[in-house]
Amino acid sequence: MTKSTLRSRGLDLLTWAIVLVSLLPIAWMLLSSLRNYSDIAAGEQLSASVELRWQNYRDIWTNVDFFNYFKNSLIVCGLTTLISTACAVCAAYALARFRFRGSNAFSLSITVTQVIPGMLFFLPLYMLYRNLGQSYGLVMLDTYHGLVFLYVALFTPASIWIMRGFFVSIPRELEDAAVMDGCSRFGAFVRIVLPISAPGIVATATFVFLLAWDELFFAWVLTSTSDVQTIPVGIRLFISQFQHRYDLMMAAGAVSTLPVLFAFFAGQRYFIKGLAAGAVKG
Amino acid sequence: MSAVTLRNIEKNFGPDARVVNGVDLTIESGEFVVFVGPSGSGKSTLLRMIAGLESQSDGDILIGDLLANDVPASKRGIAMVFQSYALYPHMTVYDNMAFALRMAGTPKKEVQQRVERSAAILQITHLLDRKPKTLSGGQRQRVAIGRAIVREPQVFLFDEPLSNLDAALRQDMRVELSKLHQELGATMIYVTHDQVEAMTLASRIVVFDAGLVQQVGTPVALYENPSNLFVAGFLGAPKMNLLQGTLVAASATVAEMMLPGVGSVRAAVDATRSAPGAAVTLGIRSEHLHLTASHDGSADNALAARVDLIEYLGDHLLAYTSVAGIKDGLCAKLAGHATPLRTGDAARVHLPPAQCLLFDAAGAAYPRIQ
Amino acid sequence: MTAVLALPAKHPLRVRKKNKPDALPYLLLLPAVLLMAAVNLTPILQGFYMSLLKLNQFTLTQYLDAPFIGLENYRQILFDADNPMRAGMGYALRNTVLYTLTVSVCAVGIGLGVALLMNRDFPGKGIARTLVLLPWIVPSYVVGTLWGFMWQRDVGIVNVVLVDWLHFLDEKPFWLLGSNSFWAIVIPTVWRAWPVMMLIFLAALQAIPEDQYEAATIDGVSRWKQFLHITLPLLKPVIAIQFMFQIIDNVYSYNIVSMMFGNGAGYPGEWADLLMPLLTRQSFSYWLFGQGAAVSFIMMTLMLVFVGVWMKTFRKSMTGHD
Repeated sequence: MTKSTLRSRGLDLLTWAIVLVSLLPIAWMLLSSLRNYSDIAAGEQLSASVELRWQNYRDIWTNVDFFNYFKNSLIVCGLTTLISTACAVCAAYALARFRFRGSNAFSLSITVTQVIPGMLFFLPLYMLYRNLGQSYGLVMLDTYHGLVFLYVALFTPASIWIMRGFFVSIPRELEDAAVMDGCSRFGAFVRIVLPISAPGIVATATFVFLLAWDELFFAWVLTSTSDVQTIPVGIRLFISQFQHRYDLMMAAGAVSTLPVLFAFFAGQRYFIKGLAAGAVKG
Repeated sequence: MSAVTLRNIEKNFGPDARVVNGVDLTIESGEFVVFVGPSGSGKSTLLRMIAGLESQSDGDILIGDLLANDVPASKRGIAMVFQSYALYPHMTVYDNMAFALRMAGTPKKEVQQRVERSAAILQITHLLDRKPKTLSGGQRQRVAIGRAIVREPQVFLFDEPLSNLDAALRQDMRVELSKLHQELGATMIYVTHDQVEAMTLASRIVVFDAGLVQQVGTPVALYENPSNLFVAGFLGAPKMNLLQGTLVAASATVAEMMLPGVGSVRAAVDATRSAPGAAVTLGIRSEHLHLTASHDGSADNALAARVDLIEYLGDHLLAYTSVAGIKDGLCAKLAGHATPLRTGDAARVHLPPAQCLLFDAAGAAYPRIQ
Repeated sequence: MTAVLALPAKHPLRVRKKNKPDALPYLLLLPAVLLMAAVNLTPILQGFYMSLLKLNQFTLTQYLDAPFIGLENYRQILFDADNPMRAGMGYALRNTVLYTLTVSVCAVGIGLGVALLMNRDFPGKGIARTLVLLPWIVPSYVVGTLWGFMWQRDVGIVNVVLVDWLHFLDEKPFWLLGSNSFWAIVIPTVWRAWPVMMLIFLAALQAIPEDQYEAATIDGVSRWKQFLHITLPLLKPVIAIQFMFQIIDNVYSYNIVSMMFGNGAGYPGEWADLLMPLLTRQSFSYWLFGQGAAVSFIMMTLMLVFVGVWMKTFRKSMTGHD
């Protein structure tokens, strides 16, 4: 073996080693989720008698109101994804294609929203929701629409950022040709630009879903019953109750990861390409 | 087929960015007119205004009898072929060509007929089911043209359609475009920065620079009687030889200019509108220069030169010479494939007065005596 | 030649005045703008106003009608040593600064390093790139609980590996207490953050044309120097943007700390308490909402200044606004 081949193989190994080591905690989570909690408490992590307790996965649905949390997360995050992506696509197209008064200001405000801590406006938002419910009968607290409304507002700016990169990379001549062929500018947007940028849209939607799924703070503040509470809130309540049931915690963690895992693998091809393109173009 | 009339067209992109500067032009029905000029000269912008993709800051556009100023692009009876073809990547070739017709609500049968007919003209029938990304550059070019033909427009617009093709393909497509024009008899407006395309394709050429029309005319007219230095230098390859000097004497049939440090040269032009002492520029094309050995031929209207480089191009040669006292060398085109002259030889460059052009200090040409 | 007059058009015109501004972009922008105005703008303005009020458990019901005390909240936070809000603030600030810098530098650094590694052809390249993103997919609160479990002194896998298996250490240390707890929060955050960095840097690396390197190799430039003089300068804008995003994200970090030490599992402690968890906890425990808002507003201002300065410094390389 020549020196450079040796070096090459070494780097290959190193790369894979890094990947695998990085995955170890996840593997650990899965393994622990199947263990008997008394074994864990006793410190026998990998004893020879590997008793797989699939029971744990059933237990989380019965001991904890996990079914509700899961359902709520799916609904809230799904709706958020749909609405937010739609808004972001429109706004990003406007920013990418048109020069109009206020476009710079708007771009700037998108960056600014990312800098604002949730702490600063959670109480006003809570109060706003409460007032809407009490004074106007428009109940927002502890509802799906209350949470979705907030989430959409929170995550649309980031999506706009990504989508804009996509739109900028589509040649303008395509829309010119469409206009000459008889489309209105909006028609050109719908018939030509949208189909072409489908990968980008999928990538953005996946991204929003991931972000929404991850959100803890506002879900905690704005909900109070398990009718609406999402998974992160559920797990947090659960921790206070079952401090040492690591097995159940790991099972809950694994199950919580599944939907985003699916979403990721479904949109993976577009997502990786899209994240890169959007990011590199800024 | 329609004529296109442009009256006093102006376009500003902001107070200091005047891209098109008062253009008046009439393009006859069935003509093949080429807008040629360097990048940024405003020709593409003008084309886009005719198409309706940009609106002019001032002036009128008439297509046929229709005042087209406020008419949207798709209703002007115009079809455009873009530089990068702009084929819709998510549609098949058939759909690309059918798109405009479908948008206009044309019945399906008619759409099919027209698409197939256009495809036959351009020999792309076998490509109708393919998607653009599976096609070669030349094939995409044809599809783009086919998409334009299908609409049976009054006027065809071409925006540098050949610049993305390699040299060999470009020449083939040029010939095809000419044939297409003959076959369809359509009014065509073609934008390019390539003067070869302009000379070969156009029935009339419009030369642009800095947003202004420099000259309009047939290729022959522009080549033999350029109205200013810009046009003279732009058309023809190798570039026209230019010598700067001062006007010594002018009559109705001949003008004499002095090349400082070298001698005087006569040109068959009427330079009487300028006074002696005015700065002038002499122009002569490389194929009109005679090159002889240093003591051959008459010394009248000839300059002593030295051969610097000889390029062999198969059917002709280019001899680059330098003349003492003159900054730029002179390039002579010699017919045939051999010459007794060698690099470093002393030679004599003869400038036939009848072939010399003269330009005044502002660059405008003096009328030639034919 | 041209005898054409400006006849009235034969075809019906769709009247489009020459310089009328197109309404379409505004319409497209409308939903997003409305949302952001409702959820971001108004509450923020209210939040700022809140910071000027005496808002505690007694006055909370009055909300915006609570007594106006001007900059008193700010004064108390910044200068009053007895203020309960300030308790732990010093630690939280220090931790947040250290945490943010450490995590950002590590995430960007590791991301860049692995991107360089992944920029080669190696077996299973495609799968590796996908797999490596998995830590990022795991929700941050799961990461908090998972690592909270892993860091456990007695039953946590980290100690089992370090002490029982590899014998790096003699005794099982506490990870969730004392100064170790700083690393207990840094490491999971970096673990989750570097894959995305890696992906973005990889894309940027692949956008660099090969011939730049080829020219340098012919000129005899070493690979290390090539990295310094070709790769890094071209990557500078991407690194700058990503570093900025990392800083913003990590300053407001909440989920991991909250779940690792959570409501039941104990107080984060002197070395793991970050600004957001502290504020949340203190605000809710002591009902000092006015002061919580004040601190948040200070933080937001600092971050805005940071972003402004950062973007100005790197503006010419970062793609700006359209």
